Amino acid sequence: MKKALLYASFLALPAFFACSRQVSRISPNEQVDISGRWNNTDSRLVSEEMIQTVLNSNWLANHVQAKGSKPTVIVGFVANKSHEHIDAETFVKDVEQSFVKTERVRLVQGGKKREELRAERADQQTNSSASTMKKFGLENGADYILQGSINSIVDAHKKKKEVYYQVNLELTNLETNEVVWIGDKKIAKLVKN
Amino acid sequence: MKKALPLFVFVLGTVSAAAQAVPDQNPAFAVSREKYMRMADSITKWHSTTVHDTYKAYDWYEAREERRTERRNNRYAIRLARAQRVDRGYYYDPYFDSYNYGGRFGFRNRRSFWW
Repeated sequence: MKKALLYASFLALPAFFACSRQVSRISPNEQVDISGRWNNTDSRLVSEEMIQTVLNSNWLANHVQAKGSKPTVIVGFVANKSHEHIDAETFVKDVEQSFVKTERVRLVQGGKKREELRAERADQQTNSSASTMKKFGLENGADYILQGSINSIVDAHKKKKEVYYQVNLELTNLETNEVVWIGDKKIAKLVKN
Repeated sequence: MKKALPLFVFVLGTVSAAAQAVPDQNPAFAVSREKYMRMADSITKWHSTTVHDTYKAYDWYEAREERRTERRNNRYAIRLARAQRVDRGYYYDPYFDSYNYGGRFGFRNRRSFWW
């Protein structure tokens, strides 16, 4: 009987270890720092700062005053020159979403998505009915391009490390090359191993 | 005639562009336009993406861990090579350390040529 119990407990061991991992859903707004590397909290802080400043800066009012219409923006590329793999899309998408939600800025598609749109339009030229076929040459031309960069400085000795990130987004007038807005977010972290 | 055709097209394009020029516009703007028209596709495909140009930051703690891992991997590779080798004696062993072999009684610590 004792032997049977012993064997049963051995057999149950893998099941016990399989249950040791626990996963729970948390709010994306909750601050969780595990390794000290770039994480969702940093991305959120950047997007909050950028949305706050880009929609409340003078460039928007100046454009509406000069042209009498909402500005059209295209998103260019963000250069990650930091020491970590950081995907800027997590916070750039938030900024784009704020443009669309507030309806104060028009956003046009760029990059590979635009290629896909044009390919679909090309496909329509031979496959869609004449009344629903979309025409070429009627895209909205952007007034401004949103570009950015991510930089970092690392100072580490023994088990202490200070990491400084600086994220910059800037809006440039496509016709004149004039930079009309620069947003920045600086994040400093002290990590102890 | 065939050779002159591209030049003719270029001149025609320049003239027609100049005709559409707005006040204060650089009269040679068509040169730049032609240049970037050819490059536009390859540049704009990066729109809405992150271009990674990262660097490796020196971190004392991580560097120590990396050194340790490298040492472990080296030792493992040596052991593996030794295990896979046909044993022909220490003389053929490339990892045999004859200088230190024998510890304090070994070759390194002998007192004279004869011992």
